[in-house]
Amino acid sequence: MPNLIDECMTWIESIDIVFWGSLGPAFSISLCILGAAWGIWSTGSTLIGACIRKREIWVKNLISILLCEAIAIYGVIETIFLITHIKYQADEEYNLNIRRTMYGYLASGLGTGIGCASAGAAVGILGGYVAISDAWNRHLFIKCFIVEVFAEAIGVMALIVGIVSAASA
Amino acid sequence: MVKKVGSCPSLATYANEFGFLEGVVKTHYNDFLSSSDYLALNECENISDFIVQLNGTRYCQYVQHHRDDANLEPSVIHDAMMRKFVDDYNFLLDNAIEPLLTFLRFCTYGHMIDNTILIIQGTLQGREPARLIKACHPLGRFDGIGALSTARSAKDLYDRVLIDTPIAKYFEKAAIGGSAEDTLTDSNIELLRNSLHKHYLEDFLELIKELGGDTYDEMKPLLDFEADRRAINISINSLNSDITAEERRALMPRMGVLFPCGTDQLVNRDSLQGVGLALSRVDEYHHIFVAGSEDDLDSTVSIEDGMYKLETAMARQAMYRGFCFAPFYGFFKLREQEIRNVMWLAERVHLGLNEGVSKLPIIRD
Repeated sequence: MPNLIDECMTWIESIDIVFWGSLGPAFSISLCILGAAWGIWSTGSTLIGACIRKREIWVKNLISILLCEAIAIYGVIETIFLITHIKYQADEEYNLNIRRTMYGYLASGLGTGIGCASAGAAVGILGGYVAISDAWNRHLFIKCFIVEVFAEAIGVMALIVGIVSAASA
Repeated sequence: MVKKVGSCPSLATYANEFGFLEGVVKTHYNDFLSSSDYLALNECENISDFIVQLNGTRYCQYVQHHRDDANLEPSVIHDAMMRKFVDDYNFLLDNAIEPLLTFLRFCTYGHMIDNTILIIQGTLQGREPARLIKACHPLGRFDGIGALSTARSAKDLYDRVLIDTPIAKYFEKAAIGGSAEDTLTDSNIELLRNSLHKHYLEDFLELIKELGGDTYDEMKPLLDFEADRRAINISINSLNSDITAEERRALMPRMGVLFPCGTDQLVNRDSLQGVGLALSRVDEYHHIFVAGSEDDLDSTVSIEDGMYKLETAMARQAMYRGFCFAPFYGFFKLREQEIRNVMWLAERVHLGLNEGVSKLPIIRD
């Protein structure tokens, strides 16, 4: 058994360290888009249902869809930031800490990805109910919308922390 | 007995699967007549006025072709409202996927049972089958409903018509309890109806247990209330008849807030006061009963009105719920209540009476 573990470790170490660093942007873009898509799916289906009888809520509630879309944009920002850094670091020949830096990028991408995915799901599920409450009583829209903005703020926090941790990696 | 339908999705995936229909059903809440609509309807002088008033509401496209007719009957309004109800229900049904589809279908089985009984009863009294079918609730119509009028015994009825319908299983269970071979008479048909409803409610409870989660939590009180109402109705209606306690017990649903202790007390009572004593263990029913017995005119009617009021309040709460199927059931109940309300008003208007709307359970402010 220890033999097998040793073999695995050698195999893992034989992989170029830049690969692990590149997983960071991959996770960040895919998880962010998963969250955004989940959000739009939830909000969109409820919003379309609510629009059938109450057409005037349509334009206002597109903001909920935009908020979900913004989650995907956070993912894009984080990913572009990471990609440029990885390229720069991989070309640097005298970086003694390249291992640490690459794992830092992986952690940063994963953190932003999972954080934004949660924010996307939260905004999405809320968005549908914001549409319904708007259809019931239009004065409720702004009040419910603030709740949604706070859910969106979770994604911004994940993005900020992701970028700061990547910059200092 | 229930076909495997799977469980109701949880918070994370509910909106993806049923968000569309939830949006549709919850915005139906805006379609309900508000209290100012009821006040305006109450001011009407005849049915034509009534139709003009309804034109200003969501019912406009269903009543507008009656606008210029004179000498209208209240049944015109009933038909128009029912048409809208059926259209809205069919829209939900057409767009639903499992398990919501099964749930929505279950909501109509009660009407199927009532229609079956209505036709058999009408045939026994020698009424015309075509007119009976017209009197049926449109949501409870099923294939072969016309053939019901040819049935003479319960077994006959089951073999020829009901075996293909969803309510066949309740019939099977109801018939095991007694009168499968008997010819149908006016007295045992009422027992049959109650027995069918009992098995239907118990089956509905099984379904929501299977759906589980929030749907179970929110639907349980509504179904419990329905079961209690049936139990109370059975005990009040059988006060002056020669039904034994055991027979009564067999008709009571084995569920509800009153079950089992309250049901036990209910079956043994033989006066209205006794029923009230059995109900005193549940606050809501106790209030309704006390308010009902103070009414000198007809206490059974006012108890029934009280029950409708409570039901409306519960259904309205159900409309507010999220991530479960309770809004669909709530919509169903509220729509039925609205039709009852408007018909009550329409009949008063038709007779030239003006009793005010304070007695009606208003659905929306």
